[in-house]
Amino acid sequence: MHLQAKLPVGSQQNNGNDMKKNTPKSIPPINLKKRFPFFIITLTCIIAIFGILSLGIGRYSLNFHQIIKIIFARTSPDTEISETMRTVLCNIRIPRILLALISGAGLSVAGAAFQGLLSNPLATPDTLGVATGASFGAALGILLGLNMIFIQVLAVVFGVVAVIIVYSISKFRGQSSIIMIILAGMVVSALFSALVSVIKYVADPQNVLPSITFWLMGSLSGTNFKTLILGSPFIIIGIFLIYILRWRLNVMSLHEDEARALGVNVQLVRALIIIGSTMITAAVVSMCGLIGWVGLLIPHIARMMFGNNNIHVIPASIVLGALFMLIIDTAARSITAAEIPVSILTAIIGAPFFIILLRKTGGIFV
Amino acid sequence: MFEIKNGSFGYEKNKTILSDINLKLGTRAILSILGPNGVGKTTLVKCMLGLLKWTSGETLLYGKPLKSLKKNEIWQKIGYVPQAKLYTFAYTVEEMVLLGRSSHLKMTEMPNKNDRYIAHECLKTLGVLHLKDKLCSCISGGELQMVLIARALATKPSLLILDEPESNLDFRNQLIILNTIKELREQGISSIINTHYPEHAIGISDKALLLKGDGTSICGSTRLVVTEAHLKYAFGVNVKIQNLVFGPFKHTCVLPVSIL
Repeated sequence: MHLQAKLPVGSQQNNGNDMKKNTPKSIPPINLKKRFPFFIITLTCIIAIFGILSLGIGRYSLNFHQIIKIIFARTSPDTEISETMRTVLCNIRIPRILLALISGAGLSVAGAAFQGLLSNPLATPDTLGVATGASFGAALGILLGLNMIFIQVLAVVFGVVAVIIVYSISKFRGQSSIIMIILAGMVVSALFSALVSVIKYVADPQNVLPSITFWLMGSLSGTNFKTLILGSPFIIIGIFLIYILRWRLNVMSLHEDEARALGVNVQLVRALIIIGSTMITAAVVSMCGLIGWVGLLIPHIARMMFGNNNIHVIPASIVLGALFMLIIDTAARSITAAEIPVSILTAIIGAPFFIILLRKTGGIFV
Repeated sequence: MFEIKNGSFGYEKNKTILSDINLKLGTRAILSILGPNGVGKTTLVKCMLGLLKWTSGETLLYGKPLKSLKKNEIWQKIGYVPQAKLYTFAYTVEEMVLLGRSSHLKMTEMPNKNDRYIAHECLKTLGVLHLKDKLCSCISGGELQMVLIARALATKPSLLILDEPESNLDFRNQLIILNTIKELREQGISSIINTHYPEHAIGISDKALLLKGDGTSICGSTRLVVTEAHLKYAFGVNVKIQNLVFGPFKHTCVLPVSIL
């Protein structure tokens, strides 16, 4: 308390100002931060409205009136509502839209978690090789002609196997350092993508190869309640795990010794966050193939809006990711007569949007 | 309060970097660690804190071996202040200082109002409360160092360990940091600082530990340890120590004169 008088900090303030002049225009995210709850609620409402609207969009279009009728008057026979309409809505569109929301939220959270954990803004859900491992599993399943459920299981298994390999490679003298984890992730990722190439090389080019290729580009088509029920619990548990650890994630992006000296069990928190992200990524890949960009793009948009504090970044990533995937998937199934692979759209829509944001904010996360 | 008994350490089996370190530090005391580059000052700090394990010997905190204490118990009593450097993700000053509350919170707990109040008090103590909403990447090096000290104080420690807190800072900021450490001693917080400046050691510390190139060390009261002969031996430099008096100020100068 006495110190304040003894330590005039006038010159320090000047230093601060000088430095500010040199740094590019950084917009302080303070105003948005105060409105954080408002933002989350608004965006949730927008997602709900858009979700219901997108039920009617697609090759077989339904109007709002019909949608309401099908949902709320399921049992009463109605001449206006055909069996086809009901099938389209209940067995195809509802599960697909739910999958879009959940996978968008999941990939964004997994990306944000890896970026914080590895203190690397370029980290994505695939940095530890989960997605490549999972896509090898799925490609193997398709090659063997297994049915959808087994393909899904195989994808999750190989996603987890990839991370276990990465983690055991990175263990050195009983500890695993960040740089070792990143390098091991790159190596394992490269290995599995080579194995995917092997499968593509031996696959029958008439029908198996195209389906592998299409699957690798990511698509939410072919979703039904069965696959959704099998995969989504992993995603939800993963998101929940990272969500409750979100403040701890802040410490993880400091240097390791510093984090430990703040009284944090670094190895445990790191393991939990890797488990959460792995569950999410493997499950998403098992259901809808490789979807790029979301895990990189959305967390950075959240950071530009609310700063780097993960207390804000994680929830914002959940809602922004869900909305983004919903829009992308609706576009993927309605722009052209044929389904467009999701990864193509995430890059084509995502990249320019991201560039505009970067230019506008000067990327305050740097 | 804080004690090291026969501490030895080496990264590889046959190469010991630190051998037989002994020191004792009471309450309201400052200890400086001096030594040439690469002699193992930072390693010593890490070993003290249990971030690296002693190959033999142990650290005692309030008479109990560090190993027997829980992580939380240790880090609620010791605050560690690393050298100010840039972080990948820039947090605001307030967020950064709140991280200092980690050892008091359970794994899934979020900082609450009380934690925020403590963080603000720590910033106020160091006179940098006005920075609280600024990003750590947009403040000066001296200010960042103060913020990191505030973060360590937020744990409410009885011992601070500072790794070269005044390196890379200008004259004025160096004095601010040193005065802060002295002021904290008056408030009952002991400090161990790692420094490159024998002058600073003489200026603020009660005790000093001088690491020599061969892994041995001398520890004792500053006046007895930081002498021309010892510095000459440890750094390989001819050193002149001179007392200057400017009115009420007494200052001890340490001049490196020539290379041996």
